Amino acid sequence: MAVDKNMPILIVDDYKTMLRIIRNLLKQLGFDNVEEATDGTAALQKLRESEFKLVISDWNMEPMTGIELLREVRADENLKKLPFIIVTAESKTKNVVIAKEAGVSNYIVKPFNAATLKSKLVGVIGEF
Amino acid sequence: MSSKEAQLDLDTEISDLQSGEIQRVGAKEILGVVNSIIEGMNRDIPSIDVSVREYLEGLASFIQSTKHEILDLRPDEISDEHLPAVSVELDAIVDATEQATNSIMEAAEQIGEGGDTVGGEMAEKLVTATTQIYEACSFQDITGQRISKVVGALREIEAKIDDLLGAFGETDDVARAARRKEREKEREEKRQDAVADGELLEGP
Repeated sequence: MAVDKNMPILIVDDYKTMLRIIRNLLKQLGFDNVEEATDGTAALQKLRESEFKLVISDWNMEPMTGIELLREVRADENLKKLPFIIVTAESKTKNVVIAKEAGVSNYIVKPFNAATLKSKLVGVIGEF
Repeated sequence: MSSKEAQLDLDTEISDLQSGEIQRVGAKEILGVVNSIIEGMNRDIPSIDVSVREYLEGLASFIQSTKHEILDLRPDEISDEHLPAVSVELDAIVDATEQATNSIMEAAEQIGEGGDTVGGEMAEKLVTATTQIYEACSFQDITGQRISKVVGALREIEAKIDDLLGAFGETDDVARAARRKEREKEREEKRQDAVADGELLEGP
């Protein structure tokens, strides 16, 4: 089944420049229906209020980190199957294991380019 | 003081050190114990082996001179002036690169919008170019995170130097805490000044 490029995507980062970069890269890949949140708590609220098809979240945020957001999502009956990609500057195996155990769909290490973002998206939502 | 009372004092000092009730064992406490031992020997055991007494006196003198040498290095200058100045400069780098990145992104977004109107091969070239600009801009996020880690490490060093000062001379914890607070305040003021300078550079 073809991927709906109008699918609502939530991007989460406490760093506005990074939100802007991800939004623009997604736009270049044809995904225009993007909403933003600047921390895990705000993101969780948005996820509970509206229907999103994908979350791309930074790990290192306050007060709620990306990994805490992921755990909340996986514990929520209505959100638990939501595809969730985590973005982080930490490429240590330990972090990948933590993210895997929390139920992450895919993992992007910063800095990344459009090709990396595309390949991770394809791995999670399918070919587009 | 009788020799029995002196012995009790020494026992108390040693057991305090062993029990961990004194949170930071500094040169002062160690010097106190060594001096108590020397006093006890002078009073109670005048015939003690001279070499042992000389050794202990040498130890006391060594601790005393080390204390002075460390204080002569002025570690307070490092924690009061140099480290805070470095932190402020690093914070300013993060702010400046963030402003520059936003300007670059804004320009790239405008180029991208222009590309939407031209169409064809040129539009594709513009999309490729702007994508490369967005990718390159992510350096700023990494730079910011790494510099924040360096600033965190500098603050740790500051705290360790404060502890060193406490152990080797400066005994007033309240004064040190007040100075630390003052440093935080100065750091914030310098940071605000740096932001204001950055805004001025952008013109009226």
